[in-house]
Amino acid sequence: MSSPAQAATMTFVVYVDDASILAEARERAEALIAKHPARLVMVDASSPHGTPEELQSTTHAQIVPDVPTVLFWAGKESVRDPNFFALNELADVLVLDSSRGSGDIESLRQLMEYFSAGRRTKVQDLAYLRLAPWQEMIAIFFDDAELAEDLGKIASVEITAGSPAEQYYLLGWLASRLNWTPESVQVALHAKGKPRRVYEIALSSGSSTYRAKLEEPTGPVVCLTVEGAHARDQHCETLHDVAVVALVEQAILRPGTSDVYRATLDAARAFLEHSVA
Amino acid sequence: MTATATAPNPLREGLDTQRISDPCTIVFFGASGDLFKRMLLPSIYELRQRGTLPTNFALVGFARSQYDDDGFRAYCKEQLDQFAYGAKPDGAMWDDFAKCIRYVTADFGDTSHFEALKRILEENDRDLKTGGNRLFYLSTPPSVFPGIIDQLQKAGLDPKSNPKGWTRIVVEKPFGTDLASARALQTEVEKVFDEGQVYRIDHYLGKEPVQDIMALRFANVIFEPIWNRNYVQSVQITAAETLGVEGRGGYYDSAGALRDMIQNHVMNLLALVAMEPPATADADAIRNEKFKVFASIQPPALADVPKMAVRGQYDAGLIDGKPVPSYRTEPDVNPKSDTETYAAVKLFVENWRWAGVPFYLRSGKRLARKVSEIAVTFKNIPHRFYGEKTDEIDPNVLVIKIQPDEGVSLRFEAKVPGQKSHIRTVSMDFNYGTGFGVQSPPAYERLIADAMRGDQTLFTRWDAVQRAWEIVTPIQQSWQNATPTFPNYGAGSQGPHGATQLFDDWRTL
Repeated sequence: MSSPAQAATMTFVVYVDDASILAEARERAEALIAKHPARLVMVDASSPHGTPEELQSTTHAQIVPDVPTVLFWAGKESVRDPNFFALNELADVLVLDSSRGSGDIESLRQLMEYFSAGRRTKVQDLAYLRLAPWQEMIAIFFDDAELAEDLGKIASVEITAGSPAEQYYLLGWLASRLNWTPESVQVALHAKGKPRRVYEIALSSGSSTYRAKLEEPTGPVVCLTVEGAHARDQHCETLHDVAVVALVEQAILRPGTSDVYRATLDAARAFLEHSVA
Repeated sequence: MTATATAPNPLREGLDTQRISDPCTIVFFGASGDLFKRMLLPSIYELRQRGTLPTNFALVGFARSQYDDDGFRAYCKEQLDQFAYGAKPDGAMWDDFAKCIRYVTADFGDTSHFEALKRILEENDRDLKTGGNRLFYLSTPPSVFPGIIDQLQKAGLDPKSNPKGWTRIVVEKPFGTDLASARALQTEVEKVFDEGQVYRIDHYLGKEPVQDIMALRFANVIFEPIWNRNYVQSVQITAAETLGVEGRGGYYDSAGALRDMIQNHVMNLLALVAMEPPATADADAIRNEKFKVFASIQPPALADVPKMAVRGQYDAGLIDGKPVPSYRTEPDVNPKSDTETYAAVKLFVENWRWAGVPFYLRSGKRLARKVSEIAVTFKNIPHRFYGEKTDEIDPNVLVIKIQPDEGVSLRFEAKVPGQKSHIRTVSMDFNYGTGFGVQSPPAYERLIADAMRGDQTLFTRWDAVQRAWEIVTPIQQSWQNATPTFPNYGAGSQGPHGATQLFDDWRTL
């Protein structure tokens, strides 16, 4: 049954420059706007299109006034694509995924470049949001007052994930919270499994090892163990939904780029530059 | 893992989490009952799945049925297999959850069983690091509430005997069956618990659309200027069901629509519609405003009750084209029962905002349609100069739909396209389900989590419960003093004809 009135919470602009993901991007966008009523503007740059200025003008004509415009950037490049800045000027919120596609580190580097140039601040990276359940898991260890004392003694970290954006974001987050520098902590990043998936994080102090490990055979469950001086019984938690639609939903509901995210990105950049050097 | 940090955990900064930070044990009295297996246990398990429960959590069942710990765990798994509305109990998650479940086979009158419970709680504090925090959930028949509270004190499970953690109690509705019994129960509660430790649950208040009423009123500026006697003609609050007593004949026959629905659910809706904006979102700020609404309603004089209230009882009839029996032939119902299955009440909130505006409340079983809604009817336009002479210009109506199809609809007048100036009534609808495309979580999930967090906002305070009983008491008394002519409405109908004498413009079900 149709309704004479429809709510609109935003204009949702989706930019795609790869024909092979166009249908999937549209499907996800439609799933999102079924939940958050919006005008959907699909910008298909995989076929011939005009100049960035023309693209901006055409898109602008489609925007619903008085509600925010969210740009979901699914382009292959970001800051190196002139269309990026043309469309970004129209947007109140920019959502992208540094771990999209091949999952190499290039997208994250470009995002770091964007931030270091002092650009617009309302940016949400799905690669970072995807890690929230893992951040929660690691935080659980140190809710325990006894174990919290060990937090300052963490000397090494191992992260096993399917793509580097997740590895560097997790590393950057821990480093920013615990004041690590590339010189102060021993880091081992292991590439394994599917892109965008984290499998295991292990933190070691001199006396104990804290391990959060994905137990896939029994479902999306992460089991936490502490071995060594502060040994504890295993505790398991469900790994919550990290589907793209759910992440974009989180991105649009957040008020802006958090200080924790900015600090994470700065710390990740320091580790990334250190690894290249 | 334990959760007893005293210094802030630096990894928690900026994390977006719903996790309840206080470790605790929740004890379900009546854990072999229907409410536990259908609603409470699935809600707890879903909270566990969502990562809302504290990491140091334990559940203790306390009931008459014979189980040991493993037997009760198997019982819980069996019930979750059937009633869990999220993930079913399986794998590492279930194993982990099952470890925190214990059981006491109990006689509610035997202090030694409460002492056994105390030992388990102490073991939980030691082994599962539950921090001495206890939430007692009374999901038993109300008749045993006072006995349980008394035994908790005798066994040293009262708040004063537990200085190292918090102790709270959740009491299911109904809180008493009339004013006297509610006061008697409150006297027993007060002997052991302070008001800040008592969570009187009315699951209606945990429903998302009920919470949306406050958002609609106080997160928008356009409604508040007209939300008063200057613009509002009347308010209708309806909680109608097509179902009968559904196996609850024994309970319902001693309750009736006035006690079961009007005194609590429907009155709470009235409070949310009529309350002043609270100064803060704090539980007591909101509950203070709700109480002020009840305090502004004068209970009807006994002689006025026939003009202010109507009752009914359903006869056999048709629901969705299928025959259904009369109330008096339902299982466990007295064949000569005078219990009302329909109640309609007219009340006035006598304050500056609402003086002279009637609030019509109605609730009934086996009515034509299942609907819970609040309809705010605005006054007619003051001067008509538009439209053809034959056109009827209806007042605007704002309808807050609670179930089904939760949402908001606004009825207003519009010009029919064409050269003539015909006016027609149109409806503008917003539906939360299609608007946001989300399923609201069950009310119990929200309410249990709030009790564990210590947030009393959605729980009813004693002063409000007492005042609601005071308001309906003359109606109860008047109805007790006169024998009704029952049955007086057919199943599947709009209710008894007498309701139109109270108000001739009820919205059609």
